[in-house]
Amino acid sequence: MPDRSLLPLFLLALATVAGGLAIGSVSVGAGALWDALLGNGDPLTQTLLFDLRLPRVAGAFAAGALLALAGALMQVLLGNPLADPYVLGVSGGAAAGALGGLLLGAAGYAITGSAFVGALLSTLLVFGLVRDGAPLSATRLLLTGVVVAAGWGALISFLLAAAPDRDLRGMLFWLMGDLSGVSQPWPGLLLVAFGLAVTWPLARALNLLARGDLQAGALGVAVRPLRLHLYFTASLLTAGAVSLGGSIGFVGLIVPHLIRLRLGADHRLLLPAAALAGGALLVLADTLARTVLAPRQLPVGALTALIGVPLFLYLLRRTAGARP
Amino acid sequence: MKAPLAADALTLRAGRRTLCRDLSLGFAAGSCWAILGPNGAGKSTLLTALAGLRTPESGRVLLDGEPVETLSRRAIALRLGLLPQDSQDPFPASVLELALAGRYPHLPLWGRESLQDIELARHALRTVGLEELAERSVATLSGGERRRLGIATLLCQDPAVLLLDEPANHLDLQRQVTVLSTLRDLAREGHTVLAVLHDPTLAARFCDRALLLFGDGRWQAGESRELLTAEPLSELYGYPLVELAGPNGPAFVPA
Repeated sequence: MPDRSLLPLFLLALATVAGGLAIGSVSVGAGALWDALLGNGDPLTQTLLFDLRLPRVAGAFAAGALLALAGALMQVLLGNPLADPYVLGVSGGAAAGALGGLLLGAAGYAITGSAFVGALLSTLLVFGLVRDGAPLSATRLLLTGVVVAAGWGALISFLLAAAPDRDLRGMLFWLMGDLSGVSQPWPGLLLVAFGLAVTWPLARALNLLARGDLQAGALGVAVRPLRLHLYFTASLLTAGAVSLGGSIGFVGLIVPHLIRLRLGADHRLLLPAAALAGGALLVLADTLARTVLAPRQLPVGALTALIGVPLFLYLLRRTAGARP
Repeated sequence: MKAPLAADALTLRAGRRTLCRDLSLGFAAGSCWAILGPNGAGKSTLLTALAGLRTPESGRVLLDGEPVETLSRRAIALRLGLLPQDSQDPFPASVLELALAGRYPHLPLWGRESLQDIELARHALRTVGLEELAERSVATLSGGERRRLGIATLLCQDPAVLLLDEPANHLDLQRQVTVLSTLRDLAREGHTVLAVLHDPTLAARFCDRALLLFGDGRWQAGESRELLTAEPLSELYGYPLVELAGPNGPAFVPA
């Protein structure tokens, strides 16, 4: 068993967070950043870092970690490496909830709340539709989720068509993923801690579940409770991420794969590593999103794909080449 | 002595079809059972029910005298192991990692595999002739190697009762004989072995007991010597078989 450490990823995450704090419309040098972190910076820099940039950077980290963790769990639940956090329609429900809220004139926390309610509604709907089957059979879950997601897609198109023009831009950013509205990252960060706390101790059981229900059951895993647990935890984490920053694509699909390519598929390492790498990737993408074309803001979802696609293809090719 | 594994008036159905009716049978320690029957007769269904992974339509499965549904999955896995008919590996893993999966029920929640566990896994791989491939990725294995890895995982789990669904599947002739000898030796050491087999010749050579499932609810159990003969086997498969005298017991060929 190779002894692999989380330290490099931890340092990477720290570096992206420091970068995210330092870089922006006003750049803060390393010395000034250090002073401010120790509490001896000038008041303007303190305000800029802690009141303006920190919530957004922390929110980006939380959303990325939630998505990567949810993606890793969803891939085990469905026994399919192509699953992502959105495949069962959670993001569609959240988006429909948020857009509905926007149309009704909601703002701020009310939109976050309506997105969260939409996501949970979708989770319960899919669960209600598959409940009577085999222990949450992967195929039925996947089919039901995909169809429910398509239903949400139709509802979203309808809401977009019905919306007044002035709301459209805000709505689109919401659908593509946008972290500029994050004012309170704490619920997201707490949800990351919660997600890790309730799944990391089960990492060895997840390793077995990935090999199929029968094999896992034969080796001593109580399959049905574990599948239920995974389903609701992954959905809750996704709902939290989508409420923070909209439907940011790609992080949940690609980060677990990146980790598997580099560190192997053992969930004892995969779960915390995915959370760290997902957070780091999204902080990096969000920093770019708000600086590349400043003062214009780009949708962060487009940037996660722009960074993730080449990185993933490079690693995939290199790993394939290294095999005997 | 109480049998480690017993079926008590066990009835299994698939849809409207009855696969086995009122099966009452004790599987004693030290016995090696062959389960034979035509395709779809319910052999795999019976194994999953005996492993407590499928609720029977009626009747009970007893593990050391205790109803299996009252035991936790982990408690069952410490005493009884199952080699499923198929394996799936959608995610990457090394051969050694998969063999080590057999240690799952033996370790506490947060436990890491100890050097002793790794030694057990390597020993299991050696038994099935895969020790050279320990560090290889599972994705690179052939069907037969994959099958032997499944058996290694089961050996690493080290239960008293071993249920194997077509352990000889995908194996070449030499490996079939090696694997079945290993199972017979385990039975001689006091384990209880139940293997679904498709070759009555191998069953007669390595298993001292046989359970025939006819696919319509009827079953027949007994000593291999008496049960594994041309007449009941021909009826079982719905095709005439001829019994020849081989060097290691009877050999059966389709007429």
